[in-house]
Amino acid sequence: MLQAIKGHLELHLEGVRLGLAVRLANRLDFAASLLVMMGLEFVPTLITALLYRNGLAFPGWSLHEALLVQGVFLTAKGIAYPLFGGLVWNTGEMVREGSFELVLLQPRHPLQSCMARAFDAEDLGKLAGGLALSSWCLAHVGVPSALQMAGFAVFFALSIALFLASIVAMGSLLIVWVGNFRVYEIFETMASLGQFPSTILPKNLRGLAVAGFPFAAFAVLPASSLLGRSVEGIWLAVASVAILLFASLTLWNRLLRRLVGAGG
Amino acid sequence: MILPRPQALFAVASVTWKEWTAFRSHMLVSLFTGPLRFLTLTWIWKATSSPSAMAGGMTTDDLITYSGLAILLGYAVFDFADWNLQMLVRTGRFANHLLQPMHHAWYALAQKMGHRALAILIEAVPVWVLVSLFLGRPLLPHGGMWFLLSVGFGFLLMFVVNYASGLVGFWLTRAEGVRRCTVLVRDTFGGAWIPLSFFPLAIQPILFATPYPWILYVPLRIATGRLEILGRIVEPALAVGLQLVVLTVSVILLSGLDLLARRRFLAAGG
Repeated sequence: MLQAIKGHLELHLEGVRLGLAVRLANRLDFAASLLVMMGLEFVPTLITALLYRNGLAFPGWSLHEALLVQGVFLTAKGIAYPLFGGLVWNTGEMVREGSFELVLLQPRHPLQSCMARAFDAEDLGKLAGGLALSSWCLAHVGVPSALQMAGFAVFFALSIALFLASIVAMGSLLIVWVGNFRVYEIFETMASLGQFPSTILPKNLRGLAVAGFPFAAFAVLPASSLLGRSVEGIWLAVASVAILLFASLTLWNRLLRRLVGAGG
Repeated sequence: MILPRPQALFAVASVTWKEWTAFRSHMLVSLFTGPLRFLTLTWIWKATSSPSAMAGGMTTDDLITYSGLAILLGYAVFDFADWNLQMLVRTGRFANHLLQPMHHAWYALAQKMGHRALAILIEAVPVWVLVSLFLGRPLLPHGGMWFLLSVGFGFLLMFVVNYASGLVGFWLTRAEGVRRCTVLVRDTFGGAWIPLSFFPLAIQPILFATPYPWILYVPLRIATGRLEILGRIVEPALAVGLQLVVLTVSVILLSGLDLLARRRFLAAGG
């Protein structure tokens, strides 16, 4: 069993090494992509900063608290996307080119093979940006206590799990919805609701933030824990994420059977 | 760049229309993402602003109208001439276009007309219906003919800006990162996310010195009924005139850049 775990880890580490080597082959393009990937993610931050600058505010949230939500979101994305995010692009491209069948010939579960190839270093810009923004915000709102940090760790893991479920679901869709990389846009649009405090939602819709597709789990719940705010609906969010993770893995296996290929 | 025959442009546009209908399921994604983006922005404006106060010189209704129309106009003026041109240069397939009896820029513009005509039909119109249903009233722009003219100029200016960005592919082996930078700057400076009147007044002259605000922001503010540039109210007629000036200057600069770029092109068949 230990040997098997070691084998899995070696496979993923090799994927990371190769992913880095590929991107460093063209450093200017890599540097530009790194900056752009970070810059794109700061659009909600820009919107928030300009809102507050013009006298507007999210009800019950100060500027630094609102930006902390976005910092946490970016940090979580900066961990999930480098590790798993490439799965979507790789799966989509391989299915489109007809080379996905080669993955099925490998002595690993196809999902694991796709994940091993998934490392994309350009998304590390998001992690750097997220950590910088979060640190700056925490410097203004106060250092969280050990209990708040422990709560944050749990909710942060939940956030990564939700990202993983979303990424696997997107990859699954590309097996049958060939070449439609707008699945990224579908996900980004849904996830964007999780970059702002849930107080923007009308009162009768706030339950949606933690049920079904619990977008509050991306960042609002972890950030609330860091800020010592009450975290309502956490168990509903945990259950929703667990169901989504199970559903996405099931979807992958189901849709894999519908893969249509004619050799690569 | 000599103007080709209208029949040739129409032929390219209609073939592009047909080609894009094969990807209609991709385009129909907008029926989900468009209304959801609109809802997100509407909730943000309603939660943060007061109906009786103004922010960035705009009321809550103005901001909601701006956000809705930004999404719809985005469908109408979007193109990927930058990505397309860089791909053609990178793969060598650009050589095929050098053999055609029309400049590639005209070909690409005709392609844009084709796929945008389809996008207006199957993306913009249905999303407009959904957004209007949510609002309880048709989302209609102010400005009449000035608005339409402004959108037309914005359509052309978006193409010119993107094509110029695509020409970078003649200098760089991998230009994807630079292209994405340009898209980010274009959309941020263009007011796609938030009205430019929210930016500090001190930096607004820098924004308006670029072509980007003249693509989307100017038509959108004409549509809200109150166009503000650098803190001053500007009549739609004057704004559209200034747009035309920006477009003319951009086309001249693009022509120069195109001449420089083509000297660099090397292909070995494509």
